[in-house]
Amino acid sequence: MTDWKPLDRREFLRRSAMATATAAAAAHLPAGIARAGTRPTGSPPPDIDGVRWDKAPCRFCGTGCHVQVGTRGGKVVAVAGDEAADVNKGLLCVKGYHVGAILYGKDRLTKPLLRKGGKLRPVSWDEALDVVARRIMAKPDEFAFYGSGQWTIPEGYAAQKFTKGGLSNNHIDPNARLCMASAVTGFISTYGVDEPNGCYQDLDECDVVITWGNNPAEMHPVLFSRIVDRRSRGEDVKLIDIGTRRTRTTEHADHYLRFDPHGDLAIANGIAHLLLENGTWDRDFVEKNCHFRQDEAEPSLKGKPMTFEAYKKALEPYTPDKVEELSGVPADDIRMLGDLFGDPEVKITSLWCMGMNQHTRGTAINRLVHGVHLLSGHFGRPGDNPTSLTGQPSACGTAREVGTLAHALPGGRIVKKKEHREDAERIWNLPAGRVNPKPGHHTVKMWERFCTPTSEGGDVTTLWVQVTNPGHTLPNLHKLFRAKEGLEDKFLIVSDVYPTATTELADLVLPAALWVEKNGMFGNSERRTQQWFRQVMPPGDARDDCWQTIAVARRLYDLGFPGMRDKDGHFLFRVTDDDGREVPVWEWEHYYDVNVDEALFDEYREFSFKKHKHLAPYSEYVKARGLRWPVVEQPDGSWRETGFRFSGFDDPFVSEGKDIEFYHSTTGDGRAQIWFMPHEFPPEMPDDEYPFWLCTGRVLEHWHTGTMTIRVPQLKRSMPTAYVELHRDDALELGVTNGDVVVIESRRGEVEVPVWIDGRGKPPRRYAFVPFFDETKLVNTVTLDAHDPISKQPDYKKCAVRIRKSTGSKA
Amino acid sequence: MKSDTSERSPVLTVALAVIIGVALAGFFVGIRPLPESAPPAAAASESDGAAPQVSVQPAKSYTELWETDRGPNAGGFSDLATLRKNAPEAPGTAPGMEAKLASLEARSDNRAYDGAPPTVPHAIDPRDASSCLTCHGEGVTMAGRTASPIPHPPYANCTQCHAPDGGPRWADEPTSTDNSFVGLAAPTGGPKAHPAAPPQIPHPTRMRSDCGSCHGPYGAPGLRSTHSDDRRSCTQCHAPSAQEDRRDWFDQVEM
Repeated sequence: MTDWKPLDRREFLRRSAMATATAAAAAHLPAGIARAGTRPTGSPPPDIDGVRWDKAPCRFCGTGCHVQVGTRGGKVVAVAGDEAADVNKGLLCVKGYHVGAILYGKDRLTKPLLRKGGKLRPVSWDEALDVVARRIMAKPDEFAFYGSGQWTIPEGYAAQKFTKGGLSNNHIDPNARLCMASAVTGFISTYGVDEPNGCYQDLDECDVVITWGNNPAEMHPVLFSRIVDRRSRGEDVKLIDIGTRRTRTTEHADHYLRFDPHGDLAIANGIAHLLLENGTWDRDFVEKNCHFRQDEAEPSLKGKPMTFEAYKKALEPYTPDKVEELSGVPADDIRMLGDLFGDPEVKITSLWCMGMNQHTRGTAINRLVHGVHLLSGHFGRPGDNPTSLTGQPSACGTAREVGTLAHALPGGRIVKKKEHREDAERIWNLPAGRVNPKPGHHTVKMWERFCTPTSEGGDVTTLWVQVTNPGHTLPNLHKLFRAKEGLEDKFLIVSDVYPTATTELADLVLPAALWVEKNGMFGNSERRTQQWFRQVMPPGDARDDCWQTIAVARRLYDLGFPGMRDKDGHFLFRVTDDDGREVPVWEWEHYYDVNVDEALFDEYREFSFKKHKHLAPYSEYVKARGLRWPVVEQPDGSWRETGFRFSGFDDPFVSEGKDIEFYHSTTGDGRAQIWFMPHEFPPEMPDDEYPFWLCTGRVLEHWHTGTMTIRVPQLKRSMPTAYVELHRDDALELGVTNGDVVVIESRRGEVEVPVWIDGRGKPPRRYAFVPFFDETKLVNTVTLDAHDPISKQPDYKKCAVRIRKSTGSKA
Repeated sequence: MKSDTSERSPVLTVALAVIIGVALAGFFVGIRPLPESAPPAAAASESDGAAPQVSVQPAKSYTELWETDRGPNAGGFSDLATLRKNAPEAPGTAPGMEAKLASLEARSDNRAYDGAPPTVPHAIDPRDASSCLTCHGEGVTMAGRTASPIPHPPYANCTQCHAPDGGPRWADEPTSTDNSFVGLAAPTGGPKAHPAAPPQIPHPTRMRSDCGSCHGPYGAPGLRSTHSDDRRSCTQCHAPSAQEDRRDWFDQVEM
């Protein structure tokens, strides 16, 4: 069990056969790059005019486009969309086409930096690792790991094993908590298991797409094109945009239904009300496959059952007129939606992302949209599904599947369940009881505790951040991040590629490898796991995040920390070569002697079977353009991926003869839950003092905090600054015009941004939108840290602000 | 009634007759075609660096006025069909390496690497980019600038790949960023089997399936083909390269 890979005879033969191919591939690599791993296609990547082409998923969003990467002289020189890739069919977006340039910003971090006398000064890796290990050694319970959905699968898995298996401390959470947590709780409480049943094929086959608070034209442009390009091929696909402001998506929409914040809860209830009233709900589907459910006094994932009669009664108040009153959407448009869902012939795909997730009733609105699809039977056919989109390249693959969350274990397990802890201890070969049953601190709590003096209950004293920028993205930044300043016994470690708002307060900065400077694996929004190899070397002393974790673990092992040993006394991250000899992968010069990603992934794979999220062995992903789980081995030895979960025609785990089966049902009977969730108003709403709504989000050109994209000339020139979108009448009242700077102020902080009227988006009166990418204009000093009671995900989409013209005139 | 008629002054009658006569004469003079030698409408020609000649726009005949568009922009260059006729004709001989390099350099100004989608060198509607095809659908030459037709199928969401270079018009933030990325340069020519053979296509054809975009009437001068006006079946003679298209290796990757 301690060996990473017990080889059976077949595997051994296969590997031997591949050794030749690997050697051939290695011969083509630029000098200085050693690459471990097999390439079963048997031929090296092509070298055309001195340019070597290889595959990788894009580094940015959760779409998971396949990029062909051209390198020459050890540098990326070009990228192209992969025409044969099912996800993007040859297209990329403007970020994807320029992804190669993110490696070459002049201010890349290339040396470990330790704060000495208030200043960050270069130190050796040796010293840096020592500092980290000694801090953890002293107080392992006060250590927390904060990562993201940009962790590769092996990186997240190593961090997960380090924290939960090594430190017996569950303080590990990803920024996905700020991004996907409500989608997760929505899926789990509806189907009993996380992640969408449908896939991108839905976009090709639906008759109607409904975007719920979603702007895919800018945020998931490649998927949006998959929809609208159907029109240029003569197909008829209707787009209904349910949003709070006009966007580029609206320009392509057949119907635009503008709603007041939280009105989405009323709209979904209004549709369900009409389905029942008109008798157009799918009685057969519901009677076979669903139960009804509601929250208890204390909101929870499971809730309590309710009868159909009680459900019907609860929905009675949501008449079209009442919904119009609550949401601002005309009653006739609600009836239009009701008729649409009531028509069994039409195929409807719902899309959503942050609008429904960053919501203080995020779990509720996720449940309701699933519920509308289930109640109407618009479920399970290609083109007829509720499909949640993700914002990060491996929010699904790493945060959700590896389970790098404070309460979770890999493969859909939770620390609270003894049986699940025992699984982890068995696969990790740990002594019984090593995994702590108490959930750790979720994101908001973790940062709150880190920013609270230790003497006042701030029980997190050392915090290690990898692949994310919380000093920019946490809500209510003064409280959750800047308050760390001056707390002498708190220690912030940041692994990153560029200086950020987070490294500003770091005590130790560790330079990291980025994208194709390392081996990696991502999992996209449609359950597709993707793999790539290192193609160029990281600059200077920058090194893989995964190596950093393993190297610190080894320091702890050397210092005698018991948790870094398994029950046989071996190092927690023991990797062996084909001859069974341990490879010292904690030494950087030996890290690529073997493929650590392969070793970690094939171990992690064992976790995937319990919840039927079956993964194939690593080597299958090398030769594929990603595979959607469950991936199941066929009698002929090939591996089959699954497009549509819970659907009998495609999912191998649905019982013979059944059309639909929710085989991880929370009620244990193969049924999904249709929830009733009431409309509720947001916790903070505009009033006389703070009369505007504030919504934050992204723009097409920049990805999240812009750390990477702002350093790409083409992207920066296109969108050099954040701004505020205002209605022209509000601008008139404020006496401002395009380019004038205004102060946006909430009860928590303020930010100055220039005004853009009739720009990318067109908000209604008393509504302001500010993109959050710009580190010179941190809008999260203004946002609210109120969060969903179940998912703990904050709401970045609505809070109350006031706006005034800045005295400092132009930007 | 009777008294009204009898009281009309003979002077008034004569005056009315004269006015009607002059008007009729003027009308018939007006509809007479202008002499052949009349200068073209709105001609303000420039000659050899000398000060431009000031010319007066000649008056139009009534029939011309009747058929002419009038309004605030009537004199503008708004007739795309006519403008398209202004497309430069194919050069008689190949443009030569110097012209080609100059055109390739200009082309690289708004591309991160050969194969990157060009950035948009002008302002656009920030929300609705559907007007792109007005000029870039078939290509047009206007006011000294050329809009080349798109070389790929007409996808609907142009700004997905093409970012306007320069940001919102009001933004006066610094737009430079220090980045050492060096993109792949465009090839300068394709391989030929022998000096008189048609060259093979030296670049990928993915997203560049309409050769006329660069090599046709609205292409840059140094990239123009000598024979794109009458011959449009390019791949009859110029073969795409499986290698450049990366069909050979990536196709081995199974799906």
